[in-house]
Amino acid sequence: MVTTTALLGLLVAVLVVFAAFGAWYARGRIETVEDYITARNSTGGGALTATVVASSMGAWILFSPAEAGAAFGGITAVAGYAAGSALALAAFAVVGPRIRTLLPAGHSLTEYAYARYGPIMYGYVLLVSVAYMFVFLAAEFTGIASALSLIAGVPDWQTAAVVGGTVLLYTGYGGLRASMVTDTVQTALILPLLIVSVVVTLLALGGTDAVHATVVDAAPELLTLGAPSGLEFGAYVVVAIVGAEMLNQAWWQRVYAASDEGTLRRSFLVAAVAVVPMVFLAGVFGPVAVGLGLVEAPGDASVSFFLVVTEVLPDPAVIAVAVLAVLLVVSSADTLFNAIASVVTVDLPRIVDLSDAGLTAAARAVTVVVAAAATVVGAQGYSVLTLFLLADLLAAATFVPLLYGLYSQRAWSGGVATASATGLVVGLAFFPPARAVLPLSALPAASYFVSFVGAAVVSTGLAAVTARLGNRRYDLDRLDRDVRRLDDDGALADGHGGDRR
Amino acid sequence: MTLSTLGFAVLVWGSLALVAVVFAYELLTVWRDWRETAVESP
Repeated sequence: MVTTTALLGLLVAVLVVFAAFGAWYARGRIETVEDYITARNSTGGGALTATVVASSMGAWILFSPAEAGAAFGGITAVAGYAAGSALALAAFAVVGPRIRTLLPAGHSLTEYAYARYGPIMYGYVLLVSVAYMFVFLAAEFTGIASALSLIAGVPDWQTAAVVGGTVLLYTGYGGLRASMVTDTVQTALILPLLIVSVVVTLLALGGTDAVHATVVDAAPELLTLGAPSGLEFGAYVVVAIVGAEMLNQAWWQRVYAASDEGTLRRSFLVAAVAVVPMVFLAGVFGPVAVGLGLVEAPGDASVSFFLVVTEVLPDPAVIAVAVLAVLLVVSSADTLFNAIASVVTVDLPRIVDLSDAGLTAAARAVTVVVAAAATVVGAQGYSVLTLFLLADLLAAATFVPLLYGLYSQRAWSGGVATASATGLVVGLAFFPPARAVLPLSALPAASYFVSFVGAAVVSTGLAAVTARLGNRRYDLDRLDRDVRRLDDDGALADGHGGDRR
Repeated sequence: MTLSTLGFAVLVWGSLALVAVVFAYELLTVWRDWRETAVESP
C-alpha cells in the first residue's frame, strides 16, 4: 500500500519543480497583458503540439473513456470518445487559420462573439464558455482527489490544495507563456508514463491474449464492434466534445500563440492524431476492469483505470500512475486557469478604464480567484457529471451558429441567437436529467443521443435558414478593424463594436 | 462481431506504437525549434 505521506511528498516535489520552472521561464517575458494572455505568434510546432496535447489530455482520460468502455457500450463507445476528442482538435486546424485571418489582433471567442453578433450572443457565449471551462476544471480537481484517495488515502482537500496552489504559483505569475512551456515538459513525461503504465499492466495481466480472454469470458459484448449502445454513445459524445471544445478559450489562445498558420494546422492535426491512441488505451481499462470482476457497483465504472492498476501493479508502478494522473491534471488546470482569466481580462476594457499594467494585474487577480474556486469545489467530492453534460448541451446548441459567422456574411445576431435558443430547447426537451423537473412526459423517451444530436442539427439548420431571411450583409473585414490589441491605445476607444448587422 | 484476439492485440500494440511515434516526433520538433531559436538569437 502506498502511504499518504510518501505520495503527497513526491507530488509536492514534482509540482514545486514545475512551478519553479514555469516561473523561471516567464521571468522577463511578461511585459504587457498581451504577453500574459496571448503570447501572439510566439510558439513553434513542437511546443504548440505539446501544449495542445497536454491541455487536451486531462485526468479525464483516466476516468471517462474507461467508464464508457465499462458501462456505455464497450470498445465502440471508447472509439467514439477517441473520435470526438480528435475531431475537436482537427476542427481547429480548419477554423483556426480562418480566425487568425479575420481577427489577426484578436484574443478570445467572446471578443469575436461581441464584434460579430453584439451583446446578446456575447453574453450567451460568455456564460456557456466559462461554465464549460469551470466545470471541466472542477471535474479535473474532483477526479484527481478521488484517484489519490483511492490509491493512498490522501484526503481530498490536501490533493486539491497542493495541485491548485502550485499551479497558481506559476500560472498566476507567468500566464500563458508559463502554462505552455510547462505543458511541453509535461507532455514529454505524460506520453512515456502512459506507455509504461499500459505495458506494465498488460504484462502483469499476462499479455493482450490473456486480457482479451478475460474480457470475452466475462462480458464479450464489451468487445463487440459496432454495438448499438456503443454507436449511440459514440455519436452523441462526438457532438458533445466537438461542441464544447469549439467554445474552449484555451484553443483560441493557442490559435493566436502559433508562430504561423502552417504551424497551427500541423500542430492541431498532430495533436488530433495523438489523442486517439491515448484515449483508446485508457478506455480499454474499462472492459478489463469488468473482465477482472472489479466493477461491482455502477459508481465503480468511472474509476476502472485505477481499480485495475491498484489491483495488479506493484507500489512503484502505482506511484508512477499517480504521477501521470497529477501531470494530466496540472497540464489542463494551468491552461484553464489562464483561459478563464483571459476571457474576463479581454472584456474588461469595455467596462473599466485600465492601463496595460492594470489589465495584467486584473488577469492575475482573476487567475487567483479561479484557482481558489476550483480548489474549494474540487475538495468537496461533488458529482459534476450532470453539470458537465449540461454545459456540453449548451455548447452543442451554440457552436455552429457562433462559428457560422466566420464564413457567412448573412449570419446575423437575431438569427443565430434564435437558432441557438431553439436548439437548446430541443436539446433540453430530450435531456434525461431535465425530465425529472420538466413536465414533458408526452414527448418520446429522453435520450442523450436525441438531445445532443437534436440540439446541434436544429441550431445548425436554423442558423442557415435565418441567414436567408432578409437581405443583410455583414462585411467580415470589419472584424479586423473592430478587434484590436489590448496594448493598442485605439482599442479601448473603439470598444470593439459597432453596428453588427 | 466480437473483436478477435489478433485484432485486440493489433489495436493495443498499434496504439502504443503510435503514442511512441508521437513522443519521438515531439522530442525532435522541440529540439529543432530550440536549435533554430538559438541560432537566431546567439
